[in-house]
Amino acid sequence: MKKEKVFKGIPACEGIGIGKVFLLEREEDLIIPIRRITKDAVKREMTKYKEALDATKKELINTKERILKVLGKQHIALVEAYVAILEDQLLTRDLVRMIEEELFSAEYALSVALNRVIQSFERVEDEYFRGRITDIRDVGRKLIRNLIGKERKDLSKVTKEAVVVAHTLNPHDIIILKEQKCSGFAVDVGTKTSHIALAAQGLEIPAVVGLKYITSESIEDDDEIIIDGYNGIVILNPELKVLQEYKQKYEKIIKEKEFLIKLKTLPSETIDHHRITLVSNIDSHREVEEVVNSSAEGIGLFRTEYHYIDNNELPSEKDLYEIYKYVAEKIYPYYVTIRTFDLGADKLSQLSLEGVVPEQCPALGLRGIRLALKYKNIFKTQIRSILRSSYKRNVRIMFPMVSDIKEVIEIKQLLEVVKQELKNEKIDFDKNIPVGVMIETPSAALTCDVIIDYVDFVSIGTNDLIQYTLAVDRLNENVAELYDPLHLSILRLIKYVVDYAHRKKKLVSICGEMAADLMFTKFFVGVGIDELSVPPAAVLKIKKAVRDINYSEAKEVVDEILTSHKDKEKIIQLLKE
Amino acid sequence: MIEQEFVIKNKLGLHAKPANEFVKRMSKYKSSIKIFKGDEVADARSILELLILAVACGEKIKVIVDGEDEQQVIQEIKDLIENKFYTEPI
Repeated sequence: MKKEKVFKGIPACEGIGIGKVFLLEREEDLIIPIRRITKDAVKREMTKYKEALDATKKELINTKERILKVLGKQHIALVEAYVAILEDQLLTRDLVRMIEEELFSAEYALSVALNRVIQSFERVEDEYFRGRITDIRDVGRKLIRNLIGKERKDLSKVTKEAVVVAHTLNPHDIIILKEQKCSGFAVDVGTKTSHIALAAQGLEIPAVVGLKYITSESIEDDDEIIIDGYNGIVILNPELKVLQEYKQKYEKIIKEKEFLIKLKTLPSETIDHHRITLVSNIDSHREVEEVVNSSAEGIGLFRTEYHYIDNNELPSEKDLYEIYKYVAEKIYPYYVTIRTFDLGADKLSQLSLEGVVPEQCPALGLRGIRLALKYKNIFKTQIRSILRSSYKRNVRIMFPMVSDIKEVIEIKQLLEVVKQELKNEKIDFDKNIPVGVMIETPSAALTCDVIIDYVDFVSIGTNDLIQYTLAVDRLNENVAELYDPLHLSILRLIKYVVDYAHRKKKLVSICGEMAADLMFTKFFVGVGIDELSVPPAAVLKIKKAVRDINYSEAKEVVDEILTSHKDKEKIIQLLKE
Repeated sequence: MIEQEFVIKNKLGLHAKPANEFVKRMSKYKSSIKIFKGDEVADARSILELLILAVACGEKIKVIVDGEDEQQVIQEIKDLIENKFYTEPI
């Protein structure tokens, strides 16, 4: 019986793999001994090198189509970069000189030249650039293998029961592993953001990377092995107890996965078929892919502050338009609700705008729509980009921090001005773009009956609504306890907004943290909320909760909570039942 | 000879994909094209040298182009940097 051994690496892709070792390649396998050639052999050595180079290039290009199909376009460009690295003068200059003048064998010259390049990279301070060492090694190894005619083990021999252990793997290898349905892999190299890790995540193969020396250990084919991709742990020859524990974990994960996949295709409706639209919040256009995969039916809140704080200059209309267009196209046929910037003066001070001064109390100061209406040029640029991105008719526009009807009227006027400009410029946009405002101040909530006549929908931002209604800064430890989403005032305000909006047949959405909290789902369903906007990762969780609720019963619960004064424990109990 | 400074706008800086695009586009010209970051220098036709230069987002580079087609080169570099080397959706 072999002894159990635990290795700690970096978790690259979640999941558990249990199986037998398939040892692909040890690090030592590619150490090249010094070999000299005679002067007459130079020409032959150069030809050998060129042939290997061509073969490697061909191999790389052959993988392109497969990579495109499985991993997507972004990885393709990398293949081209690999080819460029192989032919780079920094590599070839040294190499050719070493063969022709110093009479070294091509493989030795290449390994020396590669090491020199790698050493230069090791001196780079920027971690991202230093990380390219893995790619260079990877592509260099391919070439060395072709030069010495040493074939690797055939990965297409990997079976479902196998866990691949290797010094390194390239994206193409990982595709083959996926096709072979391999249980997982463990490699010496790699970091959380390396291409190995990203490919594992893209293909959902349990993986641990950065194990450093696992291939140098006494590890053999067919040893029992467990990959714990959650904790970055690899267990070689596990004891029976450990093995059983992991087998149980594995079964549980598989069951949950199957359930979630089934849930994705089911509608988000209550037992008695009352539909709730589930949409997502995003902070950056980069998250849109995640939304598409989450089974959300659109984007209920696209926060746009990021593009203003991230740079030291204001984004141009073109910059913003490109971003919004990208999101609108990706989410099509669903819609995206773009909220104009909700910035405080503090965030804009770095842009050195005229008249921006530090404030005593930014939460009650020049923020959201107040700031936007003061700096109309910046605001207009954003509205123009949003309108321009609406040409597919799937964009809604929303305005933050409204506290007075006058603001809503002013916004609508400005919107008309911009629409007219675009019409004059013959630029296509959605002339009936749905307009909404955030209800996040008590004043907006309590005048919702008037505001609603000017808009197509409203979205309740619960975080701010609670803070402003209860007069509690929840980051202040002394009063954080008083921050209570279940305060009767909050529940009443939500009910008030829903009732007046529905009277005019307009939609109400919730987009604060409360929306993603299972404790409140029954309340939102019962009070008549039309749409819940939650982070992509929470969509399925909330969908499951909605599907377990009975709408008519939820309505009764909400009535009971709102009409009879109950303490918090009782409310929680009613919502949990 | 033309000398001009630029700021790299790509989110990850001049990383593998933009560097590759850069090399590809510069290879059709005859001029010598050198990229400086501080005291360090890279040949615009070497992806490895460009990567070792490690230009991050928001960092300044100085480009020195010398040759018969230097005007076109500087124009194309401007266009590339402006459009983030056509390698990002945005």
